[in-house]
Amino acid sequence: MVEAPVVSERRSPEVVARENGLTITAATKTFATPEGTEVHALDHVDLQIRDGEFFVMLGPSGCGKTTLLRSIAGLETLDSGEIYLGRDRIDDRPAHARPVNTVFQSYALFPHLTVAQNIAFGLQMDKLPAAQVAERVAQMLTLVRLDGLGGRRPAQLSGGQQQRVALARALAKQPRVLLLDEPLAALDLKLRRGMQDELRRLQRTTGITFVFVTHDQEEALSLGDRIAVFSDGRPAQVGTPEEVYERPVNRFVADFIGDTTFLTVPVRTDGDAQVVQVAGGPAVRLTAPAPVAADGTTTLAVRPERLVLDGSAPPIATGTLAELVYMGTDLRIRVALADGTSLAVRVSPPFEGLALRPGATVTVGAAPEHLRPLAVEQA
Amino acid sequence: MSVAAAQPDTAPPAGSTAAVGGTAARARRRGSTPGRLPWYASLPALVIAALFTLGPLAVVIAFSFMTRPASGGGVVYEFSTDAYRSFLFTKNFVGDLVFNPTYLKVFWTSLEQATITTLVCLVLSFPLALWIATRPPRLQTLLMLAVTIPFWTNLLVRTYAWILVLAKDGVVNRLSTALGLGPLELLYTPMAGQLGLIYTFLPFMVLPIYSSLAGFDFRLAEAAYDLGARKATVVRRIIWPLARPGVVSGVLLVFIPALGSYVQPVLLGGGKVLLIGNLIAAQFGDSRNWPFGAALSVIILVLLALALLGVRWWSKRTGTTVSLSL
Amino acid sequence: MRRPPRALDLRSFPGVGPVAVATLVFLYAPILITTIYAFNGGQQALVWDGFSTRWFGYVLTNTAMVTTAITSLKLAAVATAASVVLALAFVLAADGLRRTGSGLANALLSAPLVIPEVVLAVATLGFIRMIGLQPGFTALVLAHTTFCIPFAMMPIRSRLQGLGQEVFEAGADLGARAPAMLRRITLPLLVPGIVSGALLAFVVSMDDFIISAFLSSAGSTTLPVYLFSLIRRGPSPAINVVAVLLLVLAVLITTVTYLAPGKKRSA
Repeated sequence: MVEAPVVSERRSPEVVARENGLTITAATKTFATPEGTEVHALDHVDLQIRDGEFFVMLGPSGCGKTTLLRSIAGLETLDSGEIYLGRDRIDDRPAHARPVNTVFQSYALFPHLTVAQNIAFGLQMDKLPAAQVAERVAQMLTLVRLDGLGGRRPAQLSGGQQQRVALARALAKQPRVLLLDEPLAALDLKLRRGMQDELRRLQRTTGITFVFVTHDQEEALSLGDRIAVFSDGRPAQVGTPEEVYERPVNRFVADFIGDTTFLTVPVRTDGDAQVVQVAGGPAVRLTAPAPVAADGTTTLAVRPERLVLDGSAPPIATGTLAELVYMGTDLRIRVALADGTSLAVRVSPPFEGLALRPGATVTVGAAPEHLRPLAVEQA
Repeated sequence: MSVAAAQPDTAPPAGSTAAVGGTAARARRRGSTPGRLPWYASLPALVIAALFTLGPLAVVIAFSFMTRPASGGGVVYEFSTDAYRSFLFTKNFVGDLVFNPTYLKVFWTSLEQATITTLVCLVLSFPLALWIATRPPRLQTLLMLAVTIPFWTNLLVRTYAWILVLAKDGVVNRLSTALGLGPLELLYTPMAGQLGLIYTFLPFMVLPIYSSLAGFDFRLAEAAYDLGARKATVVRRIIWPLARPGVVSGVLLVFIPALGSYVQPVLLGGGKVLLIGNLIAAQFGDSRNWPFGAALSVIILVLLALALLGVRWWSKRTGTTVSLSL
Repeated sequence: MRRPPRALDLRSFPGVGPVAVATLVFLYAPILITTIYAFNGGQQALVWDGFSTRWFGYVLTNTAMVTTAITSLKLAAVATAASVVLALAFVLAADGLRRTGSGLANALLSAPLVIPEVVLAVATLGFIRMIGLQPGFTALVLAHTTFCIPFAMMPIRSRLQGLGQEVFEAGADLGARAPAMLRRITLPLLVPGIVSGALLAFVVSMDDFIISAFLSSAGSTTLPVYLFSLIRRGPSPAINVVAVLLLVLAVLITTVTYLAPGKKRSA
């Protein structure tokens, strides 16, 4: 860093977020089930979404992510808590008066209007002059690469094209925040990949804050500047894709994103380090502080692709190769350890020199920093 | 529908939020269901319906407990149970009350005719609906159009058509005379009235049964054949249960108007058989005994209410949805 | 494609086809006979005396026929308009009612469907008298509107349910306030349901005989009431023609509903 920026303009991201981003404080919402019990859709959620970032809310269905998105849009009313856009409180405003727009899961295009009329709708609601509306509609059609299709009806378009119309319609109003509710769920895999690139491009070119809800972890990792992993009505972890993947805070996050083997092992302290042994293997000094449960154990998360069988990393355990599946891009291997634990290992090419056969005795190695200690669950 | 409420991640149906007092009140104040009108927009329809459905029903109940004026129509506002008493009893020449089964017989005949109408309609409609539902889609639309046209045709027109068929010089008699059977007495017989009821209410049975069967995935039947079922078994075990909601609403849609029928027995039956409908109408017309007519109305309403409660109980027990829509 | 043998055709059931065709013949034979006789030139309804359309001319210039037909059309138009507006408002607002309330409200509005017409007719007559009204056009309009509401409501409601909630949420999200939403989204999207509902209400009103018979007065006789009195006197060439004209109306309306774009018959 050669030249520091002018000091007065240097502010912490939190301050910037509070001034321009989306701030959610203590958002709570409860639904009553038909049986009369209550379900916390949102359980005191605090979240800061920065201005101009691509923010992904990830989680299984029923985790509250969609409820939060709809609460930001004004389609759902919070029981308590507040939502601020910059310094303005917006949760007490009706949906039509919030400077945010939504791309719906089913697209929710107006079937009786043409593509151009769909895109123009929001602008007309703002009472923009007709000439300006027409100009903006044309811009939007170009932006989403639908030039020349303005006169079509939604029913005459393919799923991918409808998706673009939905995007154009929501972006036409130049919202401060664009909310996307699993917008790619209905598309097939190939189209979905294409639309992901498209969304990244749109987000960069417009600079609008995107809040994107999905249950697809790959999508979340590839799209998000930051990801909030939701569980039971609140974010379990918020961080960059790398943070949530490499340093999951708890078992839920580790399990939900990517493949993980969980090892619950006894910990002992050796000087200023914590030492563990996996299934009677060699002692390993942990590189991160491990929370210790009441019974003196800790739980480690290990990614299969961080384990090696070729001795290129220090050994952690020895076991029998129980299963081997050839996947083309890699080999998926299950190693049965002496104490019955099963370890998933992924081996990348080249495979040619490896003498791997079911029944063979193998030594599993890993760098100590890839044994990630997890928070103790309060189950 | 109600399942969705258990999943907080999806939008709950509007009704279910009502359980959470504060939120619902807040949401409702703000009119949170976009595209809908505030609740009070439902009032005009309800006021009209309350006035002209509940109002008349209340009046009819009230009238049934009042006294008949010495002459002519209307009622005298004086409490009396005479109307109900005269349903079962009559005063003999010395002034004692004796049991008089005349009106019970009228009810019995009406029930009988309505039941026969319903059964015959069902026997004809089920095969027709099943047959239509198994045609290619385009033909299905055309056939349903064919069934719907009579449904939308004026009742009097459809009844009148049978006069042309059954009259002394009508189509059937021309044929029978040509065959040497001589003219038959067809029109203005109880049979003709019964036939008219069956004919006019037939579409009311076909439409709901078809609705139940339409869109049925006949691969299900295929699966059943695959598992070794015979055709009769497939009909009994798969198609009939599927058609049942339609059958129940068809039965209601035919039985209720058939029980209170007026037009067909008069125009085709020649008014020779007295049915409840004609009996009630007559009390407010020629012989003008309003309280008695009102009492007859109350009796038939109570009977129908009991029948509807029975259907409701059945539908709850079997989990079958019964709707009275077409 | 070769047809499989009948016994193996999964969509055919023994005996079903013949009964179905016979039932269709049963449905149409009387209507066809009526249609043929409407073009009879003779003085008697059932004695064929050559093809002629002269009775059409007679009916269309007959004062009583035309007057009662106009009364019926006016009545049906007013009752249809009123019942559609009321049903539409109710359907759009019913979500706001609490669950028990909306159950009761639906039961109330659908009551005319399960009350025998004769009973409703005499009861309404009694009620009309009670509130100091006389039988006549006003009484007819009120009664017809009431029993048309459930018919107008059915297609509108099923259309609304079929639309789902997201389009309306999208409207609100894009900044539409209640009036704009109603004008630009709700009403245009409900048009097919409204048209079906209106046609159904119109036909039901035009079809009604019993209630009209009790509530009409000398100046407000409807076509069915007049027609009934004619039919009671026995068949006539004029009735044949009226029957065919009403049949044509039914064919027209049915075809319109079936050909309407986006038409999906409500189940």
